[in-house]
Amino acid sequence: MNDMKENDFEKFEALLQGKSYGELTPAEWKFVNQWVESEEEYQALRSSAQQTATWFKVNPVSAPRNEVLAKLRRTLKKEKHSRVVAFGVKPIWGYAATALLFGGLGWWIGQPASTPVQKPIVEQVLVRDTVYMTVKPDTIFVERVVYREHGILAKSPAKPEVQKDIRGVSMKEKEELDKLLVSGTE
Amino acid sequence: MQKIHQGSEAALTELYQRYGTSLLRYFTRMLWNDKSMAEDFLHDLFLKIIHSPQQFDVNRKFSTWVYSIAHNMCKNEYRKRENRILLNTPTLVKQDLDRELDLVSANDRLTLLLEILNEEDKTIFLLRYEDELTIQQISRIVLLPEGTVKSRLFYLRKHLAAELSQFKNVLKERSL
Repeated sequence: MNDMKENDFEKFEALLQGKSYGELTPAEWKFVNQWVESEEEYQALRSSAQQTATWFKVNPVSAPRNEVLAKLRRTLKKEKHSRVVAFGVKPIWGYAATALLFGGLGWWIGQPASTPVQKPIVEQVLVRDTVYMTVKPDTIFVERVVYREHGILAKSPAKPEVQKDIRGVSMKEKEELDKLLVSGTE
Repeated sequence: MQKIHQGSEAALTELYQRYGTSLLRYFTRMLWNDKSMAEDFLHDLFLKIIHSPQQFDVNRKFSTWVYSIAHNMCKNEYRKRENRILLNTPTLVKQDLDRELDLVSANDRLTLLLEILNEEDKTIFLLRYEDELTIQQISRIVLLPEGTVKSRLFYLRKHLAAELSQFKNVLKERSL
């Protein structure tokens, strides 16, 4: 089937349903002959199309029972309810449940995994009650406090030192002094 | 769909009223005219819509999406049935079928002819000639190129015409 025929299939169907072979115009007749080889074939196709249409009419399928819809509505209601419970239209209950959950979880995590087994603690305790000396010590150190008497000298209070005149060298004296230092003589 | 996601019963009812009958018709035809089974399928399909509305792509047409789900459900059922038949019952011999077809009236003959079509062909045929969907929509539902859908439809028409040609006179009487 070439592209042109594919695109015109709907047109061919429309002609098949609407017109008998004798009613076709020359252009339609030419068009129809791309699909069928003879008038007989066209009429057979047309008859089968009519027969099918009749068959659909005489064998109708009635609307579905209302029970199906009722059942579906109940399911939808349940679904909605479960969504409400899951996503919390009542936040207080939701928060309370979450807090409880986390509290329980925390308590459970805080619990030790198993009861610890108390291990016996073994300590080495040395108790020395008696010292036995097998050899006689050659030296014995004895600590003794020796008191020695010595006299206490009474000292007179020191005389205050007389402040000498510490007057400095005047400019005149300094000049003369410099001269003396340089020349070595007066 | 958003309203359904929010739990609106009115939205569900609206959707059900709009698509319920055509989907039930599709299921009934596809599932060997077993109406109770078709109703179960319809119920399951709407459950899928309720439980996972987020799967619906807003860029797609709703009818295309919902028929895609229906088509996949039928495909699974056909596969299950095929396995059961292979395991439990002898394969239907073509000669037996021909003998059976010879005995029935034109109407029943068409019923049988539609019943023995494979799942994909039946879907394409029903969606086009009963539910009157466009070729583009059908192509998106069955995930086949539009050209393939058109050629399948053409050959299905030819096949049915050939099978029904024996009842030419009966058909003429009915069409008059």
